[in-house]
Amino acid sequence: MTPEELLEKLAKAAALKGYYLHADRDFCIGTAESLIANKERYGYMCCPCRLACGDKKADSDIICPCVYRDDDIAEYGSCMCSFYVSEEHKDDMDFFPEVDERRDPSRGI
Amino acid sequence: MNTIHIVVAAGILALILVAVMIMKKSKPAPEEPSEETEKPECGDPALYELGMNPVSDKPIMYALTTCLHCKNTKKFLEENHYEVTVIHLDDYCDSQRSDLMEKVRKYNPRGTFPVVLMPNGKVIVGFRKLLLEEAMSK
Repeated sequence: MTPEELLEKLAKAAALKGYYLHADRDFCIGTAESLIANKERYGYMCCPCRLACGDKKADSDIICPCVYRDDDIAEYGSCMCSFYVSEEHKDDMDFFPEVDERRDPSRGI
Repeated sequence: MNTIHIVVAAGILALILVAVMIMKKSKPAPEEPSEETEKPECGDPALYELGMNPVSDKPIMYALTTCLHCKNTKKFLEENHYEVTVIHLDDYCDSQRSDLMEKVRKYNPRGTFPVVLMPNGKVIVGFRKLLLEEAMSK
């Protein structure tokens, strides 16, 4: 799957929840490349902004889209990686808010 | 006629079975995976040492190869003529990966990336242009 194909697929899935991919296309392509790299490395599309442990069960909460996405978008307008954004920010190329990590540190490495 | 057919069919079947057995025997056993292929490549040992003992006159950045904010931070520092040493945690395996993560959490308990250690001791978490500019001007 190419990054472009992945983006198309993820954008469609996001739209069902009323979310959008970031307006910066290059940023999105880079994120899609990272997701593909993680799929090759770990076997699943782990969040590119977090360090995976390589165990699918332990990493299940950070498989993109992570379980924190909804709360992050509701509070900040984007997920922690700035990949998914709310409708309000869908056209903002420079929207990269500082999103606090919600994941319990004990869950990661 | 029927008997002849049965005998011929049985003969063909026997031949096929013999051929399959010969092929199985002659097929080389799968090679044992070498130690090199079994063990995933792990990161640069020198960078691991630096990551565990981060003393440098250049900024040190704990990052992930997949993290776009890390790439943008590196680009921003380099555009401002700061040569940054990047330690990609996802390049490391097993205990080295967790050792480095423990180190990252010392500077950033939430464990997010990037974490930049500036030579003046300032720690910057995330791609924060203003904070980076401020740290570079001091």
